[in-house]
Amino acid sequence: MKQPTPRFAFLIHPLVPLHRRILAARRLHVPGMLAKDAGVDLVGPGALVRMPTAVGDVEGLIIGVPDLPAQIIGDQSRALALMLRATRSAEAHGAQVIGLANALGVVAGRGSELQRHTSLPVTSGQASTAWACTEVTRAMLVKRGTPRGPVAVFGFTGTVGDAVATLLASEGVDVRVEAGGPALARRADAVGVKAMEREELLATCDVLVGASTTGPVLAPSQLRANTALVDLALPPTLEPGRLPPGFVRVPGEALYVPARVQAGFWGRLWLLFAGYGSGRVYACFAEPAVIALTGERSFSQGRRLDPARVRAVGLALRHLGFRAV
Amino acid sequence: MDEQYRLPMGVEFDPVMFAKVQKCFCDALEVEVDECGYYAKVLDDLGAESLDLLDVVFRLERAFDVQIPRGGVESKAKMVDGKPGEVDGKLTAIGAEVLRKLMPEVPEEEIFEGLKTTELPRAFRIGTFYVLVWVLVTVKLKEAEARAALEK
Repeated sequence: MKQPTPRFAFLIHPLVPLHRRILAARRLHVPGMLAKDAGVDLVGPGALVRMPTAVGDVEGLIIGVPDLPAQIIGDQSRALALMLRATRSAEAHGAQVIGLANALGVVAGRGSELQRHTSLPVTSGQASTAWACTEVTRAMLVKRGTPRGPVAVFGFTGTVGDAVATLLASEGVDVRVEAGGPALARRADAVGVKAMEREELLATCDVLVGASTTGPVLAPSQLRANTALVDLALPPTLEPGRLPPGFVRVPGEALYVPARVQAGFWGRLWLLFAGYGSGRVYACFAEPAVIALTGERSFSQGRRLDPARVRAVGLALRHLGFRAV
Repeated sequence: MDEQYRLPMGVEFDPVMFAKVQKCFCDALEVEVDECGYYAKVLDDLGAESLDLLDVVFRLERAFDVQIPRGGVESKAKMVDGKPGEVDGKLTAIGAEVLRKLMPEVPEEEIFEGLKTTELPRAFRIGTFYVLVWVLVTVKLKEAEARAALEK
């Protein structure tokens, strides 16, 4: 008997009011199309995409919740209730794992509270993001002829920034981070990275990693010519402004898919809004696919990523045919 | 003022409540309880970042069944007696004065005129969150008592 295609659910939310209206249109929810606010009735499957991999296809069920990022962050209990409703919908539609996009992955204990209410593995996808960013940064260092660094990681106090710095440092790369308080200094010592002032970082590093969780932290005027920025911050790491000559910015969270993602109208629309079209996906989207295909437990939950688990998800992604560069 | 801790006028120290606040920090930041003293700086001493504060707020809201308003302490200084407490994202003299009174757990020199409001979280202590929660819980209890009295 033919086995059903492995399936994961990916919980998304609108970034702007227009996205919410599209969600409402998809759900044929007239009040949601007209109103500024929307109720829980908008929660439900929005699209199904199919991703071929080296070991077989996997289906991604895209489920939207109606709140905008500010609402999600402002009322985490409501966000959790919406995620629970979406999770019940995912369970009813045969999903084997829950992936959380954007703001949904950072509220309510970064997935851990939702995990308490479902037997399905829940993942924020941050391990895959950290792996992709590490791969891109390593490739950039090699391209620049400085495989051992130095490289400056901005956002070291964040989950992904910490993991990227830790992984690169463990490979012998000279990793430098912006100095902060005593806790940061202790952590920097523990994982073998150097903490220094911003001016010194920018003066000594041609390759930067932007992993800040608070949006723009660097002004273009602070950068030297020919600097490369591996950026995974949303909003982006750089403030608007005139960029120095030779500056390059590369996305640090994009993965090339093994083969073209197949999707209907709504799925293609989502892929378009999600940023990379059908040839690449955000790494956090690939992580639940890995879990659905391999039966692994979650790689990403809570505040700190285990470097061994980041390497494990990287190996699994490679095995399935995903690549970061 | 409390004898042991610097508290705003009218706020009392409740060791049970404080222990619950500490636990929220320990769970969110994966630190030991002895690191979470009343005067511990949340960002610099405990290594928290902005998303950690979100997690802390979520845990406090669930532990105490309250809704912590966004903007928290800083919002109290936006407008003081009709005068702006901040201009262009920086504290005015009056804004700084109000915040120093609301946050006696923070040394006065850390809250000053011209401080960027985005930098204010760097001054937050565990005590800042204790006071916030104490006020919200106390208001909630008083409202419940008033409702019960009306029903009688």
